[in-house]
Amino acid sequence: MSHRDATQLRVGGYWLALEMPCSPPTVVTTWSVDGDPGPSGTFEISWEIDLPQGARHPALRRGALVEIVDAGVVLESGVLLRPTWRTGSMTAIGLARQAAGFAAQNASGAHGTSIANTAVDAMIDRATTHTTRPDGLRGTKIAESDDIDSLPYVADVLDAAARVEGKRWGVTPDGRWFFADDPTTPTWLLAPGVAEIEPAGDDYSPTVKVRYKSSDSAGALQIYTTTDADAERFFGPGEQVIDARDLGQISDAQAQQLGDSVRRKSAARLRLAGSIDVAAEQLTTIGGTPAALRAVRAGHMLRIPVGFSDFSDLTGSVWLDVVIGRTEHTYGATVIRLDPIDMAPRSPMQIAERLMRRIGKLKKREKKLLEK
Amino acid sequence: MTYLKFGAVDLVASGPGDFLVEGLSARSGTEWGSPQPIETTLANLRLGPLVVIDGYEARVAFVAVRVCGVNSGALATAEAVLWREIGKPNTLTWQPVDGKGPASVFEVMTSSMQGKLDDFTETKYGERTYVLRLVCRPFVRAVDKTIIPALVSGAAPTTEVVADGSTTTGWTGNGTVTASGGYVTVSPNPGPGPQLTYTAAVDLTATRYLRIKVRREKPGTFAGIEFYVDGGYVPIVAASPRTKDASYFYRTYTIDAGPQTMSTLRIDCFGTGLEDLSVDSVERTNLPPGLGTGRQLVRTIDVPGSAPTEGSLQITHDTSALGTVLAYTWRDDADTGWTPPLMPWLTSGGATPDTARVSGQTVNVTGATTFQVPAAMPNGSFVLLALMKSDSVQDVRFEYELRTKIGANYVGPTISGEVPVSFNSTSWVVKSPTGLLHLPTLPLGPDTDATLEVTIQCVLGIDLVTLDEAWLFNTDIGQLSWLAVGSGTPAAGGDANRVWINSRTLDRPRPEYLVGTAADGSDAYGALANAQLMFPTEHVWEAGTVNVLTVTSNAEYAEAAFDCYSRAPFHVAP
Repeated sequence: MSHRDATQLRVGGYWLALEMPCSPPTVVTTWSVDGDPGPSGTFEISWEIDLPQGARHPALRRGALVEIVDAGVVLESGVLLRPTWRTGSMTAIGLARQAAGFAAQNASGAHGTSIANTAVDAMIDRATTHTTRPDGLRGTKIAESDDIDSLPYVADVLDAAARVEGKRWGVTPDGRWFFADDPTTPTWLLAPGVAEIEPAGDDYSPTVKVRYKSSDSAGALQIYTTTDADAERFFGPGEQVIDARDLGQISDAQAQQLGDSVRRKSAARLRLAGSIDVAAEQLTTIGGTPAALRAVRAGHMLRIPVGFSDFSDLTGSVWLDVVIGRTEHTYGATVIRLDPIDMAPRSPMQIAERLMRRIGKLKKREKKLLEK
Repeated sequence: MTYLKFGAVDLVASGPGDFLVEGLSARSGTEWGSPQPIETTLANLRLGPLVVIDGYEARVAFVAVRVCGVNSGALATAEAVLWREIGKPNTLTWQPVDGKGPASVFEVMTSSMQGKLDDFTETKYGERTYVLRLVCRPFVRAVDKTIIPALVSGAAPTTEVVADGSTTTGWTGNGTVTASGGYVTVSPNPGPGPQLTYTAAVDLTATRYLRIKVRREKPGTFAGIEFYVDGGYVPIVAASPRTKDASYFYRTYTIDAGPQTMSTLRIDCFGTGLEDLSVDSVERTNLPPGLGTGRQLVRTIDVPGSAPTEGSLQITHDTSALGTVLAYTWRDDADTGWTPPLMPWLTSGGATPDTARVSGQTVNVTGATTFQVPAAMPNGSFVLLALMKSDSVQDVRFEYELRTKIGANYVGPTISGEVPVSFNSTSWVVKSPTGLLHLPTLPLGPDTDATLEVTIQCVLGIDLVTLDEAWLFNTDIGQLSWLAVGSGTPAAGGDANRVWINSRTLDRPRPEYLVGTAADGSDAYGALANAQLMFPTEHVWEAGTVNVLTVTSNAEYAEAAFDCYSRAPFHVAP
């Protein structure tokens, strides 16, 4: 650990700094990923250790709980992937990402489920996921019935439920599952002249149409249309179609809720392009005192002074309040990389990463019978 | 003692019989090198970069050595003796030739040796020369450790007033000395600063600590205040936070005069202007300075030397197991007098005295509990720790709110949150329910009168939750160690009444936490992660004054002692 940083890594109950030399961790946190409402919270923790050739340590095994602790407070947490002993590099994925690796099942295990609370509770009961669910996520079904098989993994159920509710899903550093709204007040303030963010027109569509089978009309196919009139007048028309027919028969009210949430959250908005690399002196709390970079996480709101720009056309203010969608920071370093939420990918690396994630998801969905 | 020694080889006149090994002077290539800073540019401002030093590189020292022998065989033997010291961790001890300055030890991490064939000199004089290249740690250290003993407490707590400030009897100063309003005041004439001396024979053998309450007229300050007992300088072991009103500053200092009979006590505020200095009272006590009860002690440690060093902090009690142990070390360069505990600042009332607790009282946190803490605190990230007890196994919601108050108005943003907290037992337990808090919440003027209002409450539970003490620890300028070593009878391998917190060293490059019962460490064992060691850290011992807060929930007046090597960049000072 950097001598200026008092944070400690705890893996499988062991304080790593007391066992072996290890480097300060690099932490990535996210608030929604690639347009999906989750996983939010710690995304990844990676660090390096230095052990003699052939040496092993009992704490460092796949599935161990990894925590970054500061004076008794857990700042980030994750689950260790298989350690790479040859190079000494260790990676842990955030607790919320486990949802993509567990089936969505009802309590008896006989069927799938479309109730978020049930999917998460059953997952925690079946396996040690180092998490708890003290707060309600969504207790009512998303699809036609409680036990549905169209949403194979817990992450799929959570994505669908959070989309309908217009919220984000994830796990807090102390292991609690949550559904949360985006913040409305800023926590951090950026110095002027640091950020160059531009609005981008990727995937812009002020009108959202939901195609679904209506349970109120005995399964008839219907389309629910919702439009953001102001956005359409400003930036022109466009449409996005959401196909919810796989959920079976759903109520008109639920289709409306889904359409409105998607329109508000992502469709009828200009996205932002451009990450911001911020040095510690350029970031303060909203009160104006210096910020500790390890406390800046995705899901916080950042106030950026933009002066007169495209945004003042829309809002009339000289600043832009942006929800941070992704942070990347190495503890002890004096810089942090911040991405706005729903950032439009621009650099080749960003586009490639997005493509890899999408392909991974598609492959999981399309698994044929008996094919791996 | 010899003035240059490398490992076991005396480089002044070494070698029995056939050969002699001599270190040569700087003219021949001997050189101690310098600590090399690692500089980092933090920012590029308009008027130039902002550069800080982020540690030091290894330092390279060279020793030119001449070996003399009766024949080439003896020369080869001498070479082998030298080579045995090479390539491994070692020490090079250098004593300045006049013998007055203490010896400095270079800690050699590894080394190498260069030779050059000079067959003429070898044949004619029977000599060979080499250059030893020593890769050393950046700072030199003293030969022996400096031990700073613990502040011991008396068996029966005794506090007596020595002078109560009501009369000028016994008081003299460098100006007119008057007594009024319970204060003895001196108006310095001439300066350069006020000085007050109390002359009387006072027996301190049973009450070695002197607690002196002083007042300074504004705009004078207490910067550089010093205390002398019988003409000898006595370091300050504790200073309270500075308070003030419209015209004056107030502070209480505790010094350790030692068990002796004192005849004069002098207070010097030299060089801080000609404003009046007053003394409210002088007390003698056998209790080391604490906050609340003897379970929470605060003291300063003067780390010797002029460079950062590694040290060992020992917290011990002769008979009681220590219980929950918190050891927090910090430097307060702005001298705000800030300390972490919140209970001294409780304003919402309802506290019940309880001498078995750390703070000496308890308060029911099921209702809103408010503290008004002076907002003059070192800037940075803070964590809130709370020692609480629940009357039954239950889950509650811990709500907290922090905001700054100036006068009667709240200013700046509010930090608030609510976090679920589970109590799995009915014992006293330390919880860390909040995330990192950035305090103060907004920039404040120097010498600010603002207070930070902290409100906490445990709601949605089914039963009572009681608070003993809460702390706001700054994790940027201070380091916290947290252990739980049991409250039963101390036994070897079981509950411990001694804890050693050791910094990293070259041999053991990670911090070490040992718990045990025997004073010599014979039954000490590594504190078990998560069962006993709740949070480890690397305590920073930079030369100068370091504040130490120790909390031992089960032991009263546990002693905190410290030892380290005094370190310096080039030569150790006496």
